Amino acid sequence: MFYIDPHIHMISRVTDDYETLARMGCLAVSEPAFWAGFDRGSVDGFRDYFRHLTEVEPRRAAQFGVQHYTWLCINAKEAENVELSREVIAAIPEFLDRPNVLGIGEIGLNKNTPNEATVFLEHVELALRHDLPILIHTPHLEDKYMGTRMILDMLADFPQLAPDRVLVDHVEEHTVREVLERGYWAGMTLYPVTKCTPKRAADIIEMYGTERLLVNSAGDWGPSKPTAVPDFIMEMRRRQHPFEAIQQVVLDNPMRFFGQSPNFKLQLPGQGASVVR
Amino acid sequence: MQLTPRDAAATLEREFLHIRARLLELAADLDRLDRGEGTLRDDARMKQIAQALQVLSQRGPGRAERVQMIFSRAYDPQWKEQFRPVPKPR
Repeated sequence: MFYIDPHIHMISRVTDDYETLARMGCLAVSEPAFWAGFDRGSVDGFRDYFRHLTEVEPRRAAQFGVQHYTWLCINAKEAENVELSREVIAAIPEFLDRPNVLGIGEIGLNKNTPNEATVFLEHVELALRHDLPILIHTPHLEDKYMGTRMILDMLADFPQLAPDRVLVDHVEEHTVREVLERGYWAGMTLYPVTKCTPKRAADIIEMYGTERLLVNSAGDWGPSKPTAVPDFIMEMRRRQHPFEAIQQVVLDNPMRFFGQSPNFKLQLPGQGASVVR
Repeated sequence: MQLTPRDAAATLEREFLHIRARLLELAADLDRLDRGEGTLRDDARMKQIAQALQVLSQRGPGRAERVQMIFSRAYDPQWKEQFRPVPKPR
């Protein structure tokens, strides 16, 4: 089955992973900017990172027929440094006309601090100024519930921001309902230990339906599995759910959300023309 | 699209050995903690584990969500009152 992995950090993965993803039916990946495992020392460090996301990874992906898209920001962890964050936010527009940039992300909260919230708000303002969709990271583990609610509270202060322009990622059982009820898209991250698993993601789909829900691997430098989306597909097939329902979650929904970005032009196999649903 | 609920008996047939395996894994985890030197009596995480185990034995839907909430910090609806954005430089 063809699918899109809407959240994966390919900068942290080996080239063989692209080949494996292609063999599994992955048509495209979207790579939000994130924490590299260390705090970068300057805005130029981020410029180099954004060049990697907009030049190197698309070339690596293209070798295997995988289309690579990206989102730009300074992540929530490094957002604790407000001064550096503001320099990065000021630099991001230099890269927004790159052909694989979909929007601003993954912005959000990490430890739910005032500094993180300050930088989150300024990222939202940046997205609104450039009319771009937003991809949001919600915090880990014990901070997720409070952080997700804080993020939703802050988004509500932007009445000009259409909820369907926002994907709130890493939802789990205790956060998915409120995200969907407020009209946002919701992403479930399939991880071996933390966040969601393929089985629990399938449970959530059974409880909430297939509208505005996505699944991703968020494969990165930590414990993660880049083929987690095919694992989810297998779980849904085991449960004998309809092909159309599975395809909506793993292909149609990412296409609909990403299709709001002018740079998203997915080519389906065997079709020369660009297709956006 | 809303999905049709799966047949409960068929689901149990498919899941039983996995559930059994995970319960045994959990039981062995707790035994391992008991065998360890020292005491965990005052460790707040052990209280969370005990609360979560209670939820598992309760009937009705929403167990996963209730377990999530045991391991979550509470939401403070007044959080904005303590929050002041960092002023932008002029």
